[in-house]
Amino acid sequence: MGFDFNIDEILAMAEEIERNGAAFYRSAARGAPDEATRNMLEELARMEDQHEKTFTGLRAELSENDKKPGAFDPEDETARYLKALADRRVFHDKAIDLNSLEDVLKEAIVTEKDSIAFYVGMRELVAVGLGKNKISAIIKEEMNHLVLLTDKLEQLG
Amino acid sequence: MTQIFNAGEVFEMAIKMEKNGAAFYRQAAEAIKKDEHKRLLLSLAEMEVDHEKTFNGLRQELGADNPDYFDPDGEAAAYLKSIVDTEVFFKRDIDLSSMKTILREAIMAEKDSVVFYLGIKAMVPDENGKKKVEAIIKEEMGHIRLLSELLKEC
Repeated sequence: MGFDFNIDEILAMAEEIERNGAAFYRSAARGAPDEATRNMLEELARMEDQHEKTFTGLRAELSENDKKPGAFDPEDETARYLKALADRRVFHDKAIDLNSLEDVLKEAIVTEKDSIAFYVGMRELVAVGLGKNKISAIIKEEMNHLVLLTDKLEQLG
Repeated sequence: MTQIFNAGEVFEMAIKMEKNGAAFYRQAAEAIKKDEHKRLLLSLAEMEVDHEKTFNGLRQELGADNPDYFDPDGEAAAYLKSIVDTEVFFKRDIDLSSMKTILREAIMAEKDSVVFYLGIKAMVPDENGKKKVEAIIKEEMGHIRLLSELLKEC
């Protein structure tokens, strides 16, 4: 990945994660077996939309200085962690069967975990003034999604 | 959701995760021929043993087995429980046939640890305890970085 790694690019990547997440939940909602499940998936999609907006807002607040490569050390451990996750394309495009709710939920759980792992690293790099707390709030919401999704998966038993 | 864990059980699970992790790295080290890779896997195993000890110590230090020790809003406990309850859905045979498959498994398991320990950190009310859990999370993040960088070379 041609990635010289500045905070702007990391936030752009977070936007992409959320965009993919929302798109995934929307396609899954179309194949949902019942209305309650469809509502849940659509609600999750809307929350991912909100997260994307938050990241877009954080990007807009960055100064030119923040965007310079080297605004933080790219050899920094956390930066390398994020790069490793990005390079691994944790946010894969896996072909999954959207007609199987079990597969949808499992995929969603793995993806939410990937997001959490990414944002935890991101939170380390982002200064308090640049929205550390907002990232913490998003992490918390993704943790709640995990609870929601796993409850649903368990119900399928 | 029927039953929420108590903190002692949560620590027990973290300890089990570390034990499993160490066992996995040891098995992988046995299955792999290249010395350099063997050494790396064994050193990862040792680090997981250290984490296990830290969790054990923390459990006692915090008095996590005391029934009064609880997560006030129950949110963190619900989060941890949901992760554990669905583990069975993700059970799969571990493939030790090559360094590549070992690294992939390891990355996934390390990510699971990060996600789980984040819940533990949220559950622990004590600042010092939070810091110790945070330090373990950082080390697991370091493992993910190491394993992923290695995977790129494979």
